[in-house]
Amino acid sequence: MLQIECPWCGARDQEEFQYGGEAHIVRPENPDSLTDAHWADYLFNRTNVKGVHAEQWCHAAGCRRWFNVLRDTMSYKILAAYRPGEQPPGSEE
Amino acid sequence: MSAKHSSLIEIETPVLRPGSDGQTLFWMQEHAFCVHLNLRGDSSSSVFSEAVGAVTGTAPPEHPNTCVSSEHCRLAWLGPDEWLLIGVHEDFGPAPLEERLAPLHHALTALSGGQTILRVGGENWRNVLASACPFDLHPRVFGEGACAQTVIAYTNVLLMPVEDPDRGEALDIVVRRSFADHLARWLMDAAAEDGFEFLSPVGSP
Ligand SMILES: [Zn+2]
Repeated sequence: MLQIECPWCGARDQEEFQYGGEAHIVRPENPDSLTDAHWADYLFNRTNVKGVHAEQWCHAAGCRRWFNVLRDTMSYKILAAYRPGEQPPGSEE
Repeated sequence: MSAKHSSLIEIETPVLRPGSDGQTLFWMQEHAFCVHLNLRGDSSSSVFSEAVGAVTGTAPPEHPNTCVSSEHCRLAWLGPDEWLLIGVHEDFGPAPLEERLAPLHHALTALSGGQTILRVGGENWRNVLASACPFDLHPRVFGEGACAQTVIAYTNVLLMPVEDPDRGEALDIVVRRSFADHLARWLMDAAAEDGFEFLSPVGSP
């Protein structure tokens, strides 16, 4: 089992969390102007990285807040957890 | 008006079932019919905190996983903008708070009929719960003034350490009404070896 650090509640057992897919996917501002291929890319295509992956988790059985996690998809090691709207630790901005 | 029933109506109480060596190291008692209100708002706004404080006697706790008590109620942190308000007396209704909060951005939701409190204690209560709860219940990290939402036996719960006036150190488990029977039966099973006593519910319909 994983221990995941909720940005509000601290370290809790994986059983309390739900996985929410890749993080930082921005909804296109004007969907009407997109081609089908672009829309499909936004909806379905994910990076599927081998290594450090930014992903969304929800503390479903705790404070019920969404947040972001950096997890190594090879080792399952969780490297960081940060609040929505924040950039991943160590990123350029 | 139809009669109110305890969530544990199908479990006959009081019941005393000592363990294999005749010991009783776990007890449970429902605190039924408390007033439960879910409150949402911006606690960084002093107007909001003061409005809540004026009615409840205490400002909503800002620190995650803490709760505060006043004469009238308990306020437990549920999220950065969300609290559970448990009224000690039945006449602690939402109306005065609703009136104070009306001009402010907020949400106040009555949950009284939807959830109940199971108070557990006894020498071995931590061990009994630990067999199906992933949360660390050790007194070093979880004592009075703390609260935590987690799961016990696949059921969402809010835990609050308390001092029971008659029986000493105890834990309040706030649970959905529809899961209360499942949880109580699960606790019976988990505590069978240690021996348990289920007392009649506190609170009048
Ligand atoms: Zn949390």
